[in-house]
Amino acid sequence: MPDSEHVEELIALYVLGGLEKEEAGQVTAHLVNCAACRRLANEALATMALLPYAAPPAAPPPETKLRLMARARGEPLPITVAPRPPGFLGRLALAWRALAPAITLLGLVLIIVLVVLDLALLRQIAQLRQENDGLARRLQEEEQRLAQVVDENRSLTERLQQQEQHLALIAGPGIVSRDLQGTELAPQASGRLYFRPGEPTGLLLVYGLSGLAPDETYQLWLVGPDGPQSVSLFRVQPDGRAELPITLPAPVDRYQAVAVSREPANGSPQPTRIVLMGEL
Amino acid sequence: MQAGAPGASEQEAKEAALAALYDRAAAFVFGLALRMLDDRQAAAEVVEAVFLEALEHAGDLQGRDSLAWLLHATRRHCLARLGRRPEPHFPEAHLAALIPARLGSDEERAARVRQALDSLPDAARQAVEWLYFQGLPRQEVATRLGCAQSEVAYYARLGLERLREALLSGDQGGT
Repeated sequence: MPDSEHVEELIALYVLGGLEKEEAGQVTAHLVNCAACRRLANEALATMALLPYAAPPAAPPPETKLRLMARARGEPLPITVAPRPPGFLGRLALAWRALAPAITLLGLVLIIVLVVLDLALLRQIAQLRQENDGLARRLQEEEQRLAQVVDENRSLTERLQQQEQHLALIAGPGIVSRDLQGTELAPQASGRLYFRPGEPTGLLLVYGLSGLAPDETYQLWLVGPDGPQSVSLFRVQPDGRAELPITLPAPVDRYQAVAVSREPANGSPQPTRIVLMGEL
Repeated sequence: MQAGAPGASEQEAKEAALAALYDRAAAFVFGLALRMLDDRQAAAEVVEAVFLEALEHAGDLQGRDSLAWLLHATRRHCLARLGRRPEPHFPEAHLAALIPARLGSDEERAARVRQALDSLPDAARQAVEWLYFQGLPRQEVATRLGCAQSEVAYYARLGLERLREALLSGDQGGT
């Protein structure tokens, strides 16, 4: 049993609830038998009884009275305000609320980085597109040049074949030739007709013929027993030359003469201005 | 035929009395719960529980200091929420009966107690507040004050004696 002096010291702690259970039990037991300590305890208790008044009053939320009166009447609660420990989603929401500013900042930084990268990529794409356009243009040009070369090649091949044919007509066995002379209208002009006697084909070469106006043409004639017969219309190259393969209904040597005239664009039924003439 | 059954009118009377008590005391009860729990939601829940308990003990409250009863019940609820069960437990009706009527209205009483508490030396005031409002054990109070446990007993005793001098001098303790 603790002595009175020791208990006296503990009485304030006892009434304020600051003693451990065992110690409080000892004080209670002492008070039963000690009137002096009991008096002190009652004084302390009367003082302690006033302490809760020290808390400053505060208006409770309005719904508290509604809930209380509903419960007093045994009605279901009008509003459920009791907080429940947050579930998984609740914890997630709380975590989000806590982390939202940081995540938002991170998001903004990411957006800025992406925008910068995007701009750089856009610039690169524009450059590449420009280069691509240039390459496509060059490719097109090369293709055009290639087409030109192919065309030239084709025409050269054709000309070579022509030349070979012409050479065959000029230099083949049994080939004969007849000269043509320029008339007064073209004194500087000359020509030569190659053919094989008994055959209806031949080659006429002309030189020194002057250029024509756009509405003019040269016309080749062979003169037979029935008069001049039109063979073909032709123009000359800038140097005044022309090579004319000819094909006739009858062997060339059946005709008496060959002539070239200068005619309007579509030719004439009869020669008008004869510039070259030769006998066969 | 009479309007309304006798049981119904008795219930209505109890509800009316509860509503009147609430209007008079709820701010004190909520203020104390808020002071102890520092949580409006929890404090509101304690208010609800305390007034429902008062409804059940309406007979005990008759002729007594009902606000003192409500405040001590409030402290009990709050300490339970804080996980503290101080020994011994003094019945609310007993504590309410210890308060002399001469201390005036509830508002006057509250003002005087606040003033008396504020006038205590710091260590005594803190020891009383931590022990009473937070239910801290002596050892925890000693740690917070940075003193020995025996000094906590001294400060608690000093605090209560000064409060008694300020509020109750002239009253005699019971036997």
